[in-house]
Amino acid sequence: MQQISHGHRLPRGLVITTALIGAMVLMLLGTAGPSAAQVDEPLAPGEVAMSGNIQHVANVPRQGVNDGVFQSDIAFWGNIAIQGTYGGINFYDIKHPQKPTLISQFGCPGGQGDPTVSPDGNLVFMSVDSARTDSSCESSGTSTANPNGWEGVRVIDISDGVENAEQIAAVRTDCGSHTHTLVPGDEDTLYLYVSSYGPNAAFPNCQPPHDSISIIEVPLDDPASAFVLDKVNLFPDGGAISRTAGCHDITVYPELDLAGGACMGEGVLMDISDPTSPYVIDSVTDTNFAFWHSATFNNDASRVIFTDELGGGGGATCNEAVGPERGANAIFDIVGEGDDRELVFLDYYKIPRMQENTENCVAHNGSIIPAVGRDLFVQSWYQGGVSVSDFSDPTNTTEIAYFDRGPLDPPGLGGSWSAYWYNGYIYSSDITLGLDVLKITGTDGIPSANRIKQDYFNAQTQYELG
Amino acid sequence: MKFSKNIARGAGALAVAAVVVVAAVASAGPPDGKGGGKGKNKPPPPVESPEPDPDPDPPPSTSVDADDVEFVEMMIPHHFQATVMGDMATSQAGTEEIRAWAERISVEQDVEIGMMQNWQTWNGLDVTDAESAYEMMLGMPMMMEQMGMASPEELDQLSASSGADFDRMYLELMITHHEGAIDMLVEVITDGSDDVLSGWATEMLTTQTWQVEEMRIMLDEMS
Repeated sequence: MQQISHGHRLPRGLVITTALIGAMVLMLLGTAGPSAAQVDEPLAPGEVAMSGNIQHVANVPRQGVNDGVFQSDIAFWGNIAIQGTYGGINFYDIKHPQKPTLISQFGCPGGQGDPTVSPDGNLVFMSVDSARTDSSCESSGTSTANPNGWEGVRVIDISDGVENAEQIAAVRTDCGSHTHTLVPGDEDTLYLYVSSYGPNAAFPNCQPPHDSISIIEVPLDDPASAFVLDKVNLFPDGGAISRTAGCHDITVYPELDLAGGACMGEGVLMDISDPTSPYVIDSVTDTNFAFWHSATFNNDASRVIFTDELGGGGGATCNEAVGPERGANAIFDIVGEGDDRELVFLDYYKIPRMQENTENCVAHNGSIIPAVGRDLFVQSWYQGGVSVSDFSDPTNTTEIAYFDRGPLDPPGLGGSWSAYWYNGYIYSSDITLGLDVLKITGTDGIPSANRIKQDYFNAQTQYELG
Repeated sequence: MKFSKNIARGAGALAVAAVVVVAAVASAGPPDGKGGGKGKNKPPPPVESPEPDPDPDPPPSTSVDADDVEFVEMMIPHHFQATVMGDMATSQAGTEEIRAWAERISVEQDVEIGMMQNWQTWNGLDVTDAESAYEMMLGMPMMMEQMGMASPEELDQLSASSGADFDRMYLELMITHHEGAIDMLVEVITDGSDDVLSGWATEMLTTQTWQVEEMRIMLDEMS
């Protein structure tokens, strides 16, 4: 069972109202230390709670052409944060993380807008997983039953600056592109692993069986010619269970030729030594998991966190009725060598703070904080907020920092979609409230993580940091 | 009021104050933000934003149509039946595998009922009470059959069974139940117009499709 409080119980984090925050100056005297995230009654609308060791340093509200649409995942290149939305891309200047600036918006609809950026900073890729009348930015939504509908991956050229972003290609993929993962090829080539799901005989562009991922090849000397290189069936024998119906997300760790896949009914480990021919080397199922959502390796890829998005992200699962083992993280060790590597289950982890039944809350996207000698993970839990957990002792994961808003008022779908560590700060993409920037202070391991600088970051393409 | 409630609730509020210096609280007004107001009635963002919000009242991102509304009204009682059958498994299942499987489905369907009820609230619709809608549906056998739901007679049999008999019947009824749901899900994905609901439906479709396949394998293994 998951432990929900620390042995030495420290006070609950500061609880203040939104209206007060702007007028408050918080000064930490000494080391606040990890907050005991004591189970309590849920927050009321308008309240904000955070542990004593986290500071909310900035918020940029949702606005402009992408106002009114959901904001989703984030990627980073240099001093630019690239935020996907259901309506296109937001670009922020984060040179001064305490004062981020929205510098440009690229309006080009298609949810969910999962973005990645090429290592050279010239290209942004954007996943579209709902049928459009055509691939252009002027398209409108159409039925999944429309055989001429388009969904797939947009290729956006930002080499002339993000203010001049321009779609140069749009690659159709089977069942659309729920997410995609950037995989380095040779110096002239990138690959995108496209995860998509939901096959049914009634959907002309998403026919069963759909046990495959599409691999898009992007020639860097001519990215406008990006094309589907192959559709690789990951489960030729039907997988650990009968069939998977597609993958939701894949994270690659190129230095070890390894990938973790969250493929609906199962979590898989893949060999990607030939990036054009990934194959599954182990897969696991779990009684408590049904909607395998994402995979994140720890810093040296000896361990992997899978998440179960029980309820698909819309449900209220952070309550006693659902409990600590569903809608949670599951932590696995990677044991063995080569194709004999196996996933060995260790434990579950879920945030200990109860949420209202109007708050969608479930394990969602996160990234490793590269602290020396420790396994720290920052993660979004939708309206459960942003949580930082320490899973160095994986059977005793503890929350060491958090930031949580009360329920939206009026109630609605919202909360943090993705929360990632990038060069000393946590950037959280909030579905309806914009971009939040958080800073952790006075916590063991964080100073070592602060010293690590990254040139760019795609959360699903992991490298050992530090 | 909210602030004082928080202090009262946070047992360690004084201890927090000991490590935190709070300055310049004088200008803090009461929390506001209800009523979707414009301009100064909008609560200030936590930290001053670099640009003012040009349009505090964004248009809704999606539209809801009659297919969406009907789907949710029907799917809530449909899901409720899965939780009724799952509850029986707690004491009547023959194996731990079936008990755990049924519990997972029950939890999932219960979470999704809450989701769909929240969706009704967000869209200004009447919220469907799961249990009373289900009881109303029990009086409409044709509709229940069309939706793949177990009939009252089948539920009586399931309720009276235990062990391997229960396991087999639970799987058979739940496969049919899920297949009915899958038809409804395909319909709303095809004909509905709300993006949020369509996304949820796609995820339910995917989950239930593999659950049907898995239950078929479980059944095969039993015979």
